[in-house]
Amino acid sequence: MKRSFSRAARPAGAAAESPARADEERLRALYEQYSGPLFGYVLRQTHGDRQAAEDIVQETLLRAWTHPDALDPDRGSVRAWLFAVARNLIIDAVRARQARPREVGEDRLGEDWAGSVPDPADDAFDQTLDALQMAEALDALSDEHRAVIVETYYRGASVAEAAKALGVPPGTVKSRTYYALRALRSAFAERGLTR
Amino acid sequence: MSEETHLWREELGAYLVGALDAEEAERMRVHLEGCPACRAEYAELAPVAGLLAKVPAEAFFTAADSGAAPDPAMWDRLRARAGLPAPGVAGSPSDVRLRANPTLPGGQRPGGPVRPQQPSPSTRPSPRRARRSMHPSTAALISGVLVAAAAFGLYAGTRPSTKADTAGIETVSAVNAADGVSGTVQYRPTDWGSWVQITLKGVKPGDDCVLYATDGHGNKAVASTWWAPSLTSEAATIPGGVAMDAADIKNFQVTTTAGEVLLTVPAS
Repeated sequence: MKRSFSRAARPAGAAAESPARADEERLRALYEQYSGPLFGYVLRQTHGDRQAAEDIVQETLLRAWTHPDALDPDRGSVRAWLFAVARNLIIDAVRARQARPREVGEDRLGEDWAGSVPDPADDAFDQTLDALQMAEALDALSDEHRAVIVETYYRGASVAEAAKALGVPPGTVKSRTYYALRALRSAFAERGLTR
Repeated sequence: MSEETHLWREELGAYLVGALDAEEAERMRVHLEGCPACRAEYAELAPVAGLLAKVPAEAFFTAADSGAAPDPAMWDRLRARAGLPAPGVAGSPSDVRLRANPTLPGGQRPGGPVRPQQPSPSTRPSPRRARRSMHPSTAALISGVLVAAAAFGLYAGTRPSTKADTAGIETVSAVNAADGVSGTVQYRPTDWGSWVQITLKGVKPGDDCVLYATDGHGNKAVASTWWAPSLTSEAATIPGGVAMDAADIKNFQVTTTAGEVLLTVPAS
């Protein structure tokens, strides 16, 4: 399914519609395609706190909606971008909860999920590089490089499994993984994110 | 660099993302101890691999999408948060006229959710004319209530709001000490009748409510229907409308569909 989330990609017929209507359709398209997957992800992170999860999903979709230029549906980056935003918001929520004095009875309300999310301070890299820039850097990779990173890193495949999934020899998986990491590092360097 | 070192380097990528098998990974560790060049490369790339964790794996793993579904009413809350006009109707004023039909008390549910026990489809107002567009500022107040748009899955375009839409709003309030229900009604004239919105507190969760407007001629019309939110403490704001001149309205009344009067709010 091909959908448009950006103003530029809107069909010509949309020009006759009011801007408000077109904006609403963009938001609706984002909502229909991503609210479910995002909600499932965030709900697990918040240990079933539906209110917190909905807040985060709403905020995520609104950020995408108000930054249409950041979303290029043709490059398959929308989902990574949205999940990265959601992850940032989860971390923000965790920080807010940790900064706040604990309330009586909070434990039994199941609101202690914040403690189980890994401390973002553990990130072994420049804190100025956020998840969005990471998503954008992934997006800038060649399809082959991105695919191998998705298989080996995100899906946890071994070299042999990735080779099978991608239909290339194991040696190619190894070299592509290496050059994909180099390409990512170059992308960060270009953005002034590495020393 | 030698060809051999080059091969080790390529192995380094798979090592960093954890894709090597145990034996290969052990060989890599041993090699790193004795090879400054590879250690330097490792130091340069390790943070990059670490950064990959900033994007959740779920973003690439659609099969992991769980069955957990957001509340269907989330769309309304989202659009309210976006400052978009609430679900409403496009078209001419006649399209949005909410006709008070005295022969169908209770059966006429403009602005109300479609319920299975609706008398018949023919008495049900069509989605297109059942709703009145709301100003964004009032849309933002909606929370936790099922409005007609959610029930219909309707998000038709709205007429653009104008300054005039916010002018001339009357606000009246009342408290029913007996049942603990309190509410504030806002209303104003429109070209099709009156826009009405009620903010209500203290209704028993799950109650099926109706807001009536009564004019000086004894006509009583349904302004909106809704289910009370699941929390009694929660204030619910419900928009609606009646085909009645705002100046003619004498009072508003909230009842359950069973007929129990929860609150009466005199008009100003």
